[in-house]
Amino acid sequence: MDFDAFSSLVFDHGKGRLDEMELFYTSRRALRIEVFNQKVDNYIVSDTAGVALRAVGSLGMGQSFTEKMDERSAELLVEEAYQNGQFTDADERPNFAKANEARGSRHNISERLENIQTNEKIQMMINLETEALSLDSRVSKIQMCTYEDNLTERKIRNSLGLSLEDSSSLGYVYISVVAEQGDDVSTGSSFAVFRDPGEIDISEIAMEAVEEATSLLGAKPISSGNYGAIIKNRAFVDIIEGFMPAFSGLNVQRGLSFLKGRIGEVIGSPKITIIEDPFLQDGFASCDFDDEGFRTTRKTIIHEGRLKEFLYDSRSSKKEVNKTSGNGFRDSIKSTVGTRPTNLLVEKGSRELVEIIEEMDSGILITDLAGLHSGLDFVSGDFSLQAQGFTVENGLIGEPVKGITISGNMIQLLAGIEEVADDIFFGLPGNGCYGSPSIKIDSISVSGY
Amino acid sequence: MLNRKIVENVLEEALSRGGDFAEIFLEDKMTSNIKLVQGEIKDSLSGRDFGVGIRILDGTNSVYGFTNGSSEKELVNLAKSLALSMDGGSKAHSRMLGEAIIHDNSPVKTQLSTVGKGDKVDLLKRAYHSAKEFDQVISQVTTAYMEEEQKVFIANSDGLWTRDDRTRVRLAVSATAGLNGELQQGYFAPGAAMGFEFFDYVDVEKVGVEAARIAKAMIHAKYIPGGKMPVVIENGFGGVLFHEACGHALEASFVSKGTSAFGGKIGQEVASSFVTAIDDGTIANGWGTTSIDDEGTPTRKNVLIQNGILKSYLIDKLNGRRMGLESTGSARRQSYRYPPTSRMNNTYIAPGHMTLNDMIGPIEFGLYAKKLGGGSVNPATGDFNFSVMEGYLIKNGEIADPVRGATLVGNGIEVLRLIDGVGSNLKMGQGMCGAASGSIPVNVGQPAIRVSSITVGGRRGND
Repeated sequence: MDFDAFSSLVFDHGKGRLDEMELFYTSRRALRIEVFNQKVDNYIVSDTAGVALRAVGSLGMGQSFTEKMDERSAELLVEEAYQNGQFTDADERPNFAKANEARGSRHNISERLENIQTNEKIQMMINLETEALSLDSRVSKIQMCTYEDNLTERKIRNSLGLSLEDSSSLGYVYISVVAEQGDDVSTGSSFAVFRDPGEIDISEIAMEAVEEATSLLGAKPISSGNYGAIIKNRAFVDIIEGFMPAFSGLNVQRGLSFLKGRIGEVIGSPKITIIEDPFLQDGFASCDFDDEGFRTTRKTIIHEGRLKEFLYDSRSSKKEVNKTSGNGFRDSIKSTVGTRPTNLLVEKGSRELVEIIEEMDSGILITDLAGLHSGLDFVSGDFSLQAQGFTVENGLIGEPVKGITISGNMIQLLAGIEEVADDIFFGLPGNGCYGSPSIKIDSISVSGY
Repeated sequence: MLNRKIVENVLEEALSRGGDFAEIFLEDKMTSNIKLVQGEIKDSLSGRDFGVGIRILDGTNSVYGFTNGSSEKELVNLAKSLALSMDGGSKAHSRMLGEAIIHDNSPVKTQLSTVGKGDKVDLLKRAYHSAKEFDQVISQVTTAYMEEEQKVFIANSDGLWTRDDRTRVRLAVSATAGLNGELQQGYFAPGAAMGFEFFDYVDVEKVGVEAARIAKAMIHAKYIPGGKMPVVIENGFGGVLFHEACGHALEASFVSKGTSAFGGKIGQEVASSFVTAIDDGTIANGWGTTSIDDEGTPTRKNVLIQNGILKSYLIDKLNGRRMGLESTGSARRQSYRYPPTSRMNNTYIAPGHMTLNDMIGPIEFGLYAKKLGGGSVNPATGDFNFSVMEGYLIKNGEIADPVRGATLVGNGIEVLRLIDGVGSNLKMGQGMCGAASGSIPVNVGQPAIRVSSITVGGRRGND
């Protein structure tokens, strides 16, 4: 049964029992190819879809979902939503978007991605693996060499007459390599995201991963202490993404953010500006409406160090600003609507990273962080993260470093930013797409030996 | 769930253009989640996952496809499109399908779906009140109830026809303490592969109190000064140390590709002689227990390390082919959306004989990590990290001031050699483990252990 037929069935079943209903549909077609030893090692195709219902009845909001679209599932969806609504707080009822609040739908479908043949994709990955292995004799293994492309669709219908849909396709390649020298082992990775496979530069991706792995051979901890630090774009973007839940209006209202009550305050150095831009040209998370059907909006979250606004979905906005900021998104049909940004950008500065390194007398260059899901607490703002990188002495990159942690508090970190480079880097798009340049901070606490 | 004729046709179609093994995995899962924030139910969400995955193996290569469809036409079409990616070599045949009788490792007394949502809401309120009223410093409490009833059906061209019903329930409490503009959190979330009778064994009020106790202890804590020091890690969720430091690198998915620090080391000494480590998928009603793995192989108890000697890896069928070894019943996946691979179930360090005092007594200055948070590892290098949720300094052989913000970083192989004390108080903790085949429930466990030296990430600036 297709979504149109299924949605009428659900609305019919719900009539009389539920006051207002909203159906959210997503589908995804994907192909994933993993190459190992010049052969396809894993080949995964998928075609899936699912529907979520949010319904407001006599009491609170009830939510349900299904991955099967048939008569019985339509009944189940209504019954579960009704039951779930019996216990929820009536204050938590969201407003559903009205039809006239909607905006045109965009379809970011790449024809070039659609037209590329499977064997070309496989050949590209074999070339990537071969290239990475041949670049440096210390590269001993390829840990992962993966291609993926997907096409996702969203459709939203509600009982206020709203009907919206959009779609988006993208692809990415990812490689992770292992380098060895004696007993020493290190890894490096690189990826590229694209809508046009013609844009991919296999040699560049291979080189980046190999350089990272080989340059870290021989890495050792440094002594504990406070260091001036440059945090490379791909590491800083992880920190920004990790702390984004602190900018959620919902978390702020619930007392789960260190930013509560600080709108309008200066929380960072004047060098730092963070914006959310749903309309970014070629942005991988660009869209015109959120998962509740409300218009997305461009906004400045931090302007030259000053905290300007939080991200809201419909229900969190009801309690404060009374207007959603168009940031109501779900991780999947199985999750509730929360807030997240579309394309989020730390604004770039005007200086080149090399210049900033050249000016550093003594300090560290952090190139990679790990442990972000456990070592970073968006509630308190504290972080303590496994780090690797290099020492910097007299403006030159020195010895490789690993086995250390960097620790601090987000406010301290934002306030300590002295320089912002011009080298914007975007992470792999997941729930939103995050971009950041490299930054320099006055001091960070390092634990090593 | 699927009739025999459809299954046979799909397996035949899957093997029509080469490949020597085909498998169907069907999943039908009901889940329900209820979340309470500050005394009110904010979200209640339930629904049904349904899908089918088809896998074809050709030697050591794998193709996999998945769909929400379940009609014969949809499945045969998926099998056909997968078969097209095979090279058209010799045509294999499926064997007659015979039903496997499995031993149920997690019997359920009270099906979760037979219990009204009101009873589940009551649990959340009880846990909320016990946490909120624990101390004035507790500013915010979130409690969550999670349940799932997953039915899986697996058939393959080697003649396997089997199914498993998996029921899981969990209660999570997250308490926040606030003082002078600072916030600190405590978290406790027991769970089991059990029905609603779980709450006959778990004291709901105590779950709330435990989360609140940690938050209160940490709001009064100072930041730990970092550096290398001896660390005593308490039992239960402390087992995440072994899970990260060693367990992942013993998974065949890394070993078979030569990207594990433990590759080729069976029979060698890889840990101090204090260490015996086990992964057991059969522990009755354990959070990480299943009766069969996600390839249909019965789960079992695998001794990984015995008195420091590496004994076994965790192996699934595909990686077993690469290594020339049999499956250890360790193939797992989050759902039909993932091809299975080797993963952990319930992993723990076996108990020794020392008491906590034996271990702490000789330490002049160190860290007592009473509760650990999560962590991660790079299996190729063995470099790991994890956060300490509740920590105390050890000074002159005694547990002293509480400390916050600690992270442990190190290398798996190194740290296993540095374990110089193992207590007798084995306990399990529940977690979700994320890797190539998705997020799966696992138990991690250990008695209290001592590591003679480990890098503790902290802050220098504050002392």
